[in-house]
Amino acid sequence: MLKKVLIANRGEIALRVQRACRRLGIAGVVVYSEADRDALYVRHADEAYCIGPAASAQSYLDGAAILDAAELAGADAIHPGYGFLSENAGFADKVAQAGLVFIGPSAEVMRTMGDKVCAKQAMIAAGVPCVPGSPEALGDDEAQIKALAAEIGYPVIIKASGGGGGRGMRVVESENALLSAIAMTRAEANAAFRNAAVYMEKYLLAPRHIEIQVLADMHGKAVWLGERDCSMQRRHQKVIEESPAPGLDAAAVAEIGNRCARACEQMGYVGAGTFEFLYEQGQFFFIEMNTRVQVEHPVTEWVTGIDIVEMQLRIAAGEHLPWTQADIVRKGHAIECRINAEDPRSFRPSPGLLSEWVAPSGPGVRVDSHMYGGYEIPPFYDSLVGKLIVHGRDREEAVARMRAALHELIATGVQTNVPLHQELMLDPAFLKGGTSIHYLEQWLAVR
Amino acid sequence: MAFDIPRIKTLIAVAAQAQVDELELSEAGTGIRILRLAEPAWPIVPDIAVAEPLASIPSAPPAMKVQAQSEAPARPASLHTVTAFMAGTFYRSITPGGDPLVQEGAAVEPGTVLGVLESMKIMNEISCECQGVVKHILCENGQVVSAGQPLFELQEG
Repeated sequence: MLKKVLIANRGEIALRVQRACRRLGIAGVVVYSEADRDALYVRHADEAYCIGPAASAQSYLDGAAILDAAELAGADAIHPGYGFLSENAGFADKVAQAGLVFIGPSAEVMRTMGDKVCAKQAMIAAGVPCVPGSPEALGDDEAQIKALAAEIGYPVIIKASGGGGGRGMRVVESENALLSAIAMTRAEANAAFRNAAVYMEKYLLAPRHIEIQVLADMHGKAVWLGERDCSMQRRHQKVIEESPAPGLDAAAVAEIGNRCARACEQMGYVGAGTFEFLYEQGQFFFIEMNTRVQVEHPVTEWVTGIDIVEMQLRIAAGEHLPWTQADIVRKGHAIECRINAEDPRSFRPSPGLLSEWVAPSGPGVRVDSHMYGGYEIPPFYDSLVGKLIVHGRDREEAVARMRAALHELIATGVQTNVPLHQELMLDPAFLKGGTSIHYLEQWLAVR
Repeated sequence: MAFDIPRIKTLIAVAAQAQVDELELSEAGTGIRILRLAEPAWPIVPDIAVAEPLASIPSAPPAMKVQAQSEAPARPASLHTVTAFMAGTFYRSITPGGDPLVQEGAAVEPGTVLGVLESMKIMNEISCECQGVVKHILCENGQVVSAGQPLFELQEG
């Protein structure tokens, strides 16, 4: 087993990894910026190192400073959490060069999955269905491009190969706008990602976002832990996540889940990972893979009873997966609401002094948060202040528990999006289940 | 007459639903004007984070601005201080290393973008609410500011 793990992150996920380390008797070392001196995970830590000023670029994104701290502390592994350096293959390389374990897949796999065209090719090779589109980056043959678009069928979307998170893309409705849209996206992609490669896909009109959680060990075995529905999004940011996805055919999900697990084995994937899909009219289309733990991992933990972060540590230490796919059984329904410090109507951020914080509790309620009354929420990082996760025998019970938990949550001094969640927990379309990724934006525009 | 806030909210909802661009109502000396797609009364979260120029742009809900109109005559030229509407990092240009949006002495009008306030990874434009001249710029580019901290001093008029 690992002896000492450096947690290269902040906020609730730093706390989450710290908990998993304690659970396994691993010493957890934390790093923090000057703005995070009073953070809960620093207060809980046995060993903490300040790695720079508030700005992420000079602290949580400074790989050299983090490696220095790891050397000083004598850590044998680094857990990158999510965001920051978690999907940075260059950092993973440096961690390995320093003789430490990077808790995640190899840098090579991260590189493949980080490039959308390469990732798609790897998925096609593994038999994972992808959105119909160009098999590789678009070339310069205009007639060929037009023929491809006609074959896929309009509307199509032009995407930057090096893009991600909803950046660097353009929807094209008809052939006369096609070539100029490609030229524009190329220019933007070159400026933003220093990679002018673009590709074409069918643009789905009202898909859902369904993702598959996987765990793979370094001995060539992988399992999938069910799906999550993360369709409730605003500007490509997930707001509510749940598992299982309402109304999906279990056999179809299992088919996709098994393909994902086999793809992991085929590419030598190690650790926790998530395959993200668009789902429309009974069909799944791969969009990207996240090679790290996800914000919304707790909903899967609750329905499977598996501690995903603990498993990341065990896998990194070389342990075998202790189960086969048949051992993975899901029970009940879990929902997560992301609680952000923001105005629930204008979505303007709301940093500042959280004068009072009382987290809900009781049966079927879990809160992953780094908040406490009197904490000053810094303006330098994202607005996530906590995750409220509930579990019930079925979706109806989970929703009822979420309503009660949202009612119990007290956060004063800053604004939070709790009122938005309260409205959504009463929204007929949400209660019915199966809304598309565009639902929330449309709902916000007319409410 | 005191402002009837619930009634104003209803009016805004009605205007938004009917997609009315402008609605003006006055009653017993109190007037209200509701503008759709107006310059926001406060800088709303921009569609595109400045650091991410390629963000796809989902259409934002139309900004609504409510102006309570006083019957008083226009005020004489005076000093007006623009403060930070939240804690964050103050920038004088849209892109890192870009030209400052305004210099001292520049003429500005309502809607002129004076600077950018980065908070919680979102870039928020600081726009001018009055017509006048930039007298003093009170903070450095890249400076961390607290909520309410003065950023610009404008000579109105």
